[in-house]
Amino acid sequence: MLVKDFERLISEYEKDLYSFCCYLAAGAASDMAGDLYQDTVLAAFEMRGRINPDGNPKSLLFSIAVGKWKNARRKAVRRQAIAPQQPLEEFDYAAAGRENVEADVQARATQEAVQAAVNSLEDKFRIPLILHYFDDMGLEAIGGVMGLPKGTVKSRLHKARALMKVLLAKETEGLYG
Amino acid sequence: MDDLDRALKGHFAGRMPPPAELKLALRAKLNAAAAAKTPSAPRWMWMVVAFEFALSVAILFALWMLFGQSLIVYVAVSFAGMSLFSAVVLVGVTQFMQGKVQLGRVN
Repeated sequence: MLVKDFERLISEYEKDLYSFCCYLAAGAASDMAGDLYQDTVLAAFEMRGRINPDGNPKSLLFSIAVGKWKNARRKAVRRQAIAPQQPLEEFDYAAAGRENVEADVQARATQEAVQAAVNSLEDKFRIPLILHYFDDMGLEAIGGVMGLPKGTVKSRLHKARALMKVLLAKETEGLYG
Repeated sequence: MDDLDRALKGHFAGRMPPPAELKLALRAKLNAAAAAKTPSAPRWMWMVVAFEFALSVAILFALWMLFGQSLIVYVAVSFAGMSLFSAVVLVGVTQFMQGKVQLGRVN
C-alpha cells in the first residue's frame, strides 16, 4: 500500500478510530486517547505493506489500538504508582453531534451512569462491550480484533452485560432491573 | 433490544474527529517515518557469515570422513558455533541500526 493510499485509508476511518480510542481510554490520563490514536496510526503505517484495503482495515486498526491500549495500560499502572495523573475530561457528546443531550438532564445522568459503569469494568469485559455497541461488531469480528475464540467473546459479552445491569441498577434504581 | 442495549447504544453513538493539533503532529510523524530509510547490514557481512558457516560445516564433514572423531573435530565444531554466534550478533546489530531494538528496551 502506497503512502497516499494509507493516508486516504486513515482519513476514511479517523473519526471511528479516534472515538474508539477515546472510549478505550475514558477514565485514563487526559492525553492517553491522543497518544493511543497516534501510536495506532504509526504502527499501522509501519505495516502498511500488509494491509489489504479490500479486506477489513477498520478491524485491523481496532486490533492494533486494543494491543497498544493493553501495553499503555500496563505502563500507566507503573507510572501512576510513581507520579499520579489526572483522569480524562468527559467525552464531549455535544461535539460528537448530539446537541440535545445537554438539554435532557435525565439522559445526561444516564450517560454518566453508563460511563462510570463501563469504566469500572475490567478490560476483558469492557473491550468486547465497546466493540459490540460502538461498531456493531459480531462475535467473530470481536474475536478477530481481540485474538479470542467466538465462544469466549460470547461469554465475556454476556458477563459484561450482566455486570452492567448490576452496576446500573445500583446507580439508577429500577431502570435496568 | 432492552433498556440496557438502548443505553449502551446511545452511550457509544458519539463520534468525534481527532483534534486538528493531533492530526498535525501525526502528519509530521508520518512524514518523518516515510522519509526515514531503514539501514541494514551490508551484504558482504552476510556473505562472510554464510562463508564461515559453510566452511566450518565442510571442514567438520571432511575431518569426520578422513579421521573420525578427534580433537580437531571439536575445533571445527567450535568454529561452527562461532559463526552462528557472529550471525546472532549481526542480526542484533542490524535490528539496533534499524531502531527496532534500543539499549535497555525492545519495541
